[in-house]
Amino acid sequence: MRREGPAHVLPDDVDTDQIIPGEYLNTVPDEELGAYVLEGYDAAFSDRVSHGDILIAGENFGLGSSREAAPIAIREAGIGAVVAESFARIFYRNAINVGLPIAEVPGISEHVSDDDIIRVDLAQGIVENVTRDESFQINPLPPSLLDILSAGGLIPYRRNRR
Amino acid sequence: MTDGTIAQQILAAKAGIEEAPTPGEHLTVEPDWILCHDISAYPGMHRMEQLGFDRVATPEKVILAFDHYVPSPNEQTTGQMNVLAEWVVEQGITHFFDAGSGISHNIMAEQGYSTPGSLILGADSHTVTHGAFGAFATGIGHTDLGEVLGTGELWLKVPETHRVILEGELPHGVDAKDLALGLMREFTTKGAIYDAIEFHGPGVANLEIHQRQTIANITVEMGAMAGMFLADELTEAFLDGQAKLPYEQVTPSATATYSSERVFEVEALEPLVAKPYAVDNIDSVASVAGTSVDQVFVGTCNNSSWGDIQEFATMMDGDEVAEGTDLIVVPGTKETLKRMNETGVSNQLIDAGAMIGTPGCGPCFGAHGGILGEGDVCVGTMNRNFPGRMGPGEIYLASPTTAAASAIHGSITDPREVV
Ligand code: SF4
Repeated sequence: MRREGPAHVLPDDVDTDQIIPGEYLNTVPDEELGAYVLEGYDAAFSDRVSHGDILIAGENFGLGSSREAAPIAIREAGIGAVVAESFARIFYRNAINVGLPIAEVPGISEHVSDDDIIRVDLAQGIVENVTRDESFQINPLPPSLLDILSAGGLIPYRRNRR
Repeated sequence: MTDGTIAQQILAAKAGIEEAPTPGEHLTVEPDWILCHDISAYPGMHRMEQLGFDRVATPEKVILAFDHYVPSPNEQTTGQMNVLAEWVVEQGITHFFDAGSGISHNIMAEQGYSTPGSLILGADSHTVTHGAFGAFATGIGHTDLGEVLGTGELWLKVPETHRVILEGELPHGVDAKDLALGLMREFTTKGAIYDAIEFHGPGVANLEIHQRQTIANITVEMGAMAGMFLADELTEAFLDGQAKLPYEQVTPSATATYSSERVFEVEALEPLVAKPYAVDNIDSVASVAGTSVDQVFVGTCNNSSWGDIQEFATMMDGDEVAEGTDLIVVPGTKETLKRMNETGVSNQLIDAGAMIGTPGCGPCFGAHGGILGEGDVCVGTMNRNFPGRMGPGEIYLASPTTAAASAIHGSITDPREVV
């Protein structure tokens, strides 16, 4: 799985209430959640995001509520992948289950500025900052989870296997 | 039971393996309980269908509580609740708690669902609360919920475990919530990502069950997968005659290895708050004393047991809420509300100026009721103070005693000054 696009750099501890505020949880269908992505962090964020952009986050990305709407909102906003120093546990599971590509790269925040072109190759386990010509190893994902992610999430994964 | 930490032993038992699994290993486990609520059950039900299952594999293990949106704030929610209420009957789910019953975690604790050694998978991040009883209890998302509903099993990664030894007793005017916040300061929001935490030491015996719930509940804010107390006489007495499942005490073996070990002096604690906008932004109540308070909220799965409400009411001691400050009290369960009525606490609080809410999550997550305006300050007994959690205002997390002292004065107040 390869994704390439310009970066948006986020700080440490971006929680799921910031990714998708509670008021949208059962009122907005999944496909429309992208319009509210990261609204709790920056009300104008969704206006700045284009299809294929890459989120670069600090530590503990997606902490807080178990709401699956968080990775879905990011996916529906067209974001190609999230690269973070570390992910909160439930967000990590949810992202794989909904087919949002995620990559854990400790220290990545220091090596990326907004709009740098980032290439994520999950199969090779590499993230590249194309703009700065630097590359980084991804903390490897177990093969079983990579399979789910490559299929586009648990639902298509199960369908394919049937 | 196998060797290892509580987490290793419970997960091994639920995966049906003899050997202690290594941290990092993935195991397929069968939970004893699958918990969901009005927000998570609706998408969970759809995910189950999308994954290709028509029937819930183990309906007798499913617990569904309507707790987040009660009473329903809008048409969509009511519609979803109606669908769920039918689904429950269709699927033969009997552990169903309709709106007004209370918060799922509090109901489960109160009614003996949470037992030592059990494995609870809940589509709610605060499922960790049940670690207060020595259960391995952890949060999952909606697709995971769909999967476990459809198959009765789920993969879990075996966590590393931190060992915390609690020493001593809580000083006067200091509450279990202050201990929870003190632990938050130690661990921070990143200190236990994907790990389990075990609480040991002589200090544990001094903590009542509802106080252990407060502490276990906050461990998810440290990133933890589970936070567990060893069951003791207090646990057994609590469960006597009402445990929903036969249980066995799980004790870590002598060979169990821990990724860290720390001793925590409970006696050295003072009243604490978590300042906006992070649960580990801890400071003493004294350092923010005098901050004007617009709303005091007592409730949530962190602090809404009868014991918590009682502490709050005792501290109010016939005083009234300061002018200009709203007080919202939401009991964790119907049983707690009834006790408030029977003991006169409801009337005492109403006379003090309180609004008493329907048992449930109440204003905790900003979807209905008690929404803060720009610049408003709330002192709440909940577990999260993230930006926007309750609207645009600021949330200070505090104990029921600090909440009462602050309600009386209309500003953040150290409860020891009122005691
Ligand atoms: S009380 Fe608050 S934290 Fe607890 S389950 Fe309800 S919304 Fe979540």
